[in-house]
Amino acid sequence: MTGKLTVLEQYNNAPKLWKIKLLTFSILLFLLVWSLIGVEYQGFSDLGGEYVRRIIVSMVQPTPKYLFGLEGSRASGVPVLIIETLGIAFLGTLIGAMLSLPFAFLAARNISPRLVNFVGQFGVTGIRVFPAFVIALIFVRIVGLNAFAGVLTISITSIGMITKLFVEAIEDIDKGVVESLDASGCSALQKIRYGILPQLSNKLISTAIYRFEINIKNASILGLVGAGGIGTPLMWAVGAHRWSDASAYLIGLIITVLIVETFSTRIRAKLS
Amino acid sequence: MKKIKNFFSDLGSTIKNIFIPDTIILTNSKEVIPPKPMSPYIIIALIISAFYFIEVTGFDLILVIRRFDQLVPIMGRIFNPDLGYASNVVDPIFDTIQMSFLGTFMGVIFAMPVAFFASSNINKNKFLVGATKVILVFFRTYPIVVYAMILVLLFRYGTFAGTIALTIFTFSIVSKMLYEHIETIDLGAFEAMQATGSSILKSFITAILPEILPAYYSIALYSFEINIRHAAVLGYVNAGGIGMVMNDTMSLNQWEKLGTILIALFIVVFIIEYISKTIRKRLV
Amino acid sequence: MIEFKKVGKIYPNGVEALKDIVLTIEQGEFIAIIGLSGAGKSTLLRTINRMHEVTSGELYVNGVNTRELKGKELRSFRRGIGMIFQSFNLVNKTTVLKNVLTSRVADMSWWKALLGLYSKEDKLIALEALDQVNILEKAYTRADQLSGGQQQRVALARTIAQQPLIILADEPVASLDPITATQVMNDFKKINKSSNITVIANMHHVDMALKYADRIIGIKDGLTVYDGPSENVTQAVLKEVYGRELTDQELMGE
Repeated sequence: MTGKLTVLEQYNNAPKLWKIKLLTFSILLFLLVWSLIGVEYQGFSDLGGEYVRRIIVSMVQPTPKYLFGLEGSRASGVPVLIIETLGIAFLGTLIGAMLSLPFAFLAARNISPRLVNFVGQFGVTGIRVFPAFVIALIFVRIVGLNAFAGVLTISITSIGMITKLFVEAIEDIDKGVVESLDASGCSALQKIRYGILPQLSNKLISTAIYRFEINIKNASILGLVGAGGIGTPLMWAVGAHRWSDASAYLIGLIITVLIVETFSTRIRAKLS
Repeated sequence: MKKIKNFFSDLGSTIKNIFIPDTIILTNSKEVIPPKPMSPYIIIALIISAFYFIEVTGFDLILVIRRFDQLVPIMGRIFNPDLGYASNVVDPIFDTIQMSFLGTFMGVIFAMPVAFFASSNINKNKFLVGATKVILVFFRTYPIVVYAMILVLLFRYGTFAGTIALTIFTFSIVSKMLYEHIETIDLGAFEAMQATGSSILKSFITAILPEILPAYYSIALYSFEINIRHAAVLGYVNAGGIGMVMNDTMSLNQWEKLGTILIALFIVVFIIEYISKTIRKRLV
Repeated sequence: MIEFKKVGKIYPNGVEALKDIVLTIEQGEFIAIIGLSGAGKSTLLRTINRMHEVTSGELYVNGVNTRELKGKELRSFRRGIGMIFQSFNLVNKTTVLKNVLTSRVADMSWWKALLGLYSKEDKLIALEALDQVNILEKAYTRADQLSGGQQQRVALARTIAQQPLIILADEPVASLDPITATQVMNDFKKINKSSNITVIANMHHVDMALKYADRIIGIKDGLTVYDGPSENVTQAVLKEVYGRELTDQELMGE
């Protein structure tokens, strides 16, 4: 090394980042222009601003009989529907979690060999390709326009995320605990029960609760295809422009989501 | 006879132990009372809930098994895609990408200033912080499909409505992720800048922005990933993109064509997620 | 020259942090302020560049009454005073050089600051400052990859690049190990002597304070209980300032 670095030398040593910045900027600019051209504005519909005002006004006046499930509309009242929605999300998440476990163990790099990993990942990615409403439509064809279709749909759609998070949890296991159990002569079953399960169970439950929260939020999408829960009457009302009715269902949905979200965050914080 | 009796009393005390643990007496006669475990009660609650919900939702495993033979042909046809249809897929997929990009871009830009209003360490006005956060909650819990349907009413069928819907959706989740991040940064450098005589704006640009930008870009890319997936749903309510084509093929029972669409969607999503994940890793 | 004329500071919650402070500090002095935590050292320091407002009395810095400053004048005023913090306060995710350049931003337009368009002159000033604290080779390293001592030197370089008349240092070496602390204090002394910059430092380590500063100000409960040359600081003085005898351990701050 010759002598000390001089100020002028260091000035000239500046890393030449401008090329990357220019490249990124150009790509973004290109994408932006391309998108702007592609998305066409077809103008305001004939309904116009007056209609917007009507929508807003109706939305702040939710139909009471639906909102509170009063006589005659018990079955289509919000309280009953909330329970149905909770049921769909609950069972769907439960089944989805159960189905995810084998996939997760297959895909975990510290449990299965590389080839098996690949197969597991491929399977899960294949399932993830199907958008939720496609799966929902298929199940509706098979079991009908009811909440059951919703449960099945949620089960399948949950697999993607739950598997991914399960795999992370499994790969994060501290091998040391298992090794020390091994050293004291435990059988495979005991190693799993005392070494692996305790480390995993918290994370798995946390994952399931997180997915449950998301599934409640997705209830509206299911409603689109008639697969049950509060989403279905909500979408019918919106589609038929019955804004006050829609508002009642929306309020029900939002309240449910908020409550579930709060509980979910608290419980998950406690678990970690 | 005695063996059977023993077996049952053992079983009984094991079960009791699960719920109300016996006091353990140590060799030095000290008593240890293990705490009542929560898990058995939770598990029982879950099982009961499961049965209740099975009733409520009409869950019927037998039905699935019986009707399973209807599922097989559909899946079979999907996995036997009509590749000739591919050329019809290209334009709608591009529409979807354009919609998602634009929606993400605009949503992310709007989210930035709002996130600052919602950050308790930058905005000292507690009321404003709280109010902003509450408003954001409403935006987040309002289902995107409802936005989309209303927007389609206002702006007719097509990608414009979808883009606006995605903008609103992106805005709602990005602003939350942003303010959660902003609240964790250390404002010391900001204070130091002001001590050198910089105005608040310049101090913000030089001391706070660089701390936030990597996370900001990461969040933006992540929401782009999410939006591509949502674009499919938007199509279902006629808000543009590949979802509209999917809807058509499904109503006409053209499962082979659906297969082609799904392949195209898969490729696009895969590429975007791959690029996004690579860039995001380098950002942090 | 800094003149405190019966300066008092009462916080909104009623705490009286400074009471009737009367001080005169000439250009080029090296002063260490010692005292217990909460005695008012930080507050005293921050009134000089008006990071804290005085509630009574007058504070003149080079003829300017700090209470009357606002807006652009206030920023101009702060331009001439550098500040060093115990927690370094660097921008973690940017390079060392960019951190030092932040002190030049006060004189730049905001859009140039946004695009990072610093003039060659500014960059050379910044690099010179880094050279003065012997950390030139780290100019393009990210700030959070440096050790504590190196980060504080970067902070010092940032202040040097500001070319101030006064440097205020709030516990500058409190988070550093003794060897690094000595290096940093040496740098302070060097700048003080070579550029005739007034250095006012809050110090926890009494030994270091006595070693480097020419003059010591002892603060207790918001009052100056000692103001004189460091040679004249005796155990009795320290007892007065801290309220009790200091053990050997406490003197070295370890």
